[in-house]
Order: sequence, then structure tokens, then C-alpha cells
Amino acid sequence: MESAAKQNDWVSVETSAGKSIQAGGATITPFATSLRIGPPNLPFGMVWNRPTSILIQSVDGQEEVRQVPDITRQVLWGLLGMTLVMAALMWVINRKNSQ
Amino acid sequence: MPTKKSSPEYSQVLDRVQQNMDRFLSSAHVDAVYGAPIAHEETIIIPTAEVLSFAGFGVGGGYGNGPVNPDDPEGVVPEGEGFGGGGGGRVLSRPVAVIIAAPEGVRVEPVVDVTKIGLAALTAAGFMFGMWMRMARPRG
Repeated sequence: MESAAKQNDWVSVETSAGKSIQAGGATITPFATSLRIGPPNLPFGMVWNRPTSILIQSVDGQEEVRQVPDITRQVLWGLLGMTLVMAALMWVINRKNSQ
Repeated sequence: MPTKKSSPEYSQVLDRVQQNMDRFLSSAHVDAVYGAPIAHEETIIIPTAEVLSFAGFGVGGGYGNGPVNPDDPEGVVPEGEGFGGGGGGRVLSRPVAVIIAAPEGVRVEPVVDVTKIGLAALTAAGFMFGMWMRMARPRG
């Protein structure tokens, strides 16, 4: 398993590759990113693992990286952004009307 | 009064806690998010999920002595100590996508959590409605 990591004392972000899988005429190598939070002197820890991409290697030697999209998370961020924009707009309109 | 935090038992408990924390933090690896491939005829399906896990541990100890029993001819000071600890954690998992490797090619099909999105949309709508009602209210 190969990995690339950025870390300090208690926060580390690591992207690592898993075992390659033979599927049909292609070899698929999965990649995942993990965020680890573990204060050195505190008995508390958090690990967040998520899939990021896959590397597809075909028999003819072609390589392609395909992202693993997290549509649910994208929609949730979009909803949050839209709510904040709408709230700001409503506040501005209300302020103009009251003047 | 010597502190019992320096006793071997207390150190053992702390070592055990540290070992558990190290083992927990080492659970961040690829196998946690990519499931075992499922073969169906010529197609291979690999499920993927986001996994969030957190844990915490705590230990504590106490030491004390009591008054000398007046009936005890030797005048021994009764003393006692105790250690305790506990921990807890939670693992949250959510499917993200499914990788489908078929003879015609490899594709990544996202998994959309409609329930989660629906609840978030309702919450957002409720927040905006509440804000609008509050602003529309005439000021006294």
C-alpha cells in the first residue's frame, strides 16, 4: 500500500492506494484519503475516510484516473450555500424596505 | 501522601488507553472505504463508502485513608485505592458510489442519499421561512 501524507502533531491527511483489482481487461487501483485527528496527550481521536479516485489501467497500457464523486455531499454544500445567499438577500431587501 | 498516579497499575491503564487510541487511529486505510468486490457473471461491482469514526477514553483513580479505628490496638491507618476507566465511540458510514467493471468498460455510479438531501432541504426551507416571517413582522 502506497501513501502520501501531510501531518503535524495531531492532524494528518493521508492519501493511500489499495490493492489492485483485476476486472475484465482492466486493473483498478482504488485511492482513499483519510483525515486523522488525534491530540497526542488526549484520549480522543477521529478518523474520516473517504474514497477519492480510481486508477484504471487497460491491457494496452492506457491509464485513466476517474474521480469518485460524492453527489450527496455536493448537494448538501449547495443547499447550505443557497440558504446563506437567500438569507443575506432577504436581510438586504428587508433593510432597504425599512429605510 | 504519595500520589497513586505514579503506580504501575495506573501506568498500565494509561498504556492500554494509548494502545487502543493508536489502534483506532490506524484504522484509516483504503480497505475501510472500498468494499470487497462482488462478481456477477462478467461484471465486478465494488461498493465505496465514506466512514467517519470517533472514539474517546477516560481513566481516573483515587487514593485515600480513613481515621484510625480506636478499637484497633495496632493503630493501623485504613487506606484504599481504586481505578476506573471507560471509553466510547461511534462509526458512521454512508455509501458514496459503486464502481462497476463490465466487459464494455469501467464506470463509477454515484449513490445519492435522497433522504438526507430531503431532510436538509426541509431544514433550509424552514430556516428561510422563519427568517422571512421574522422580517415581515411589523416592528413596534
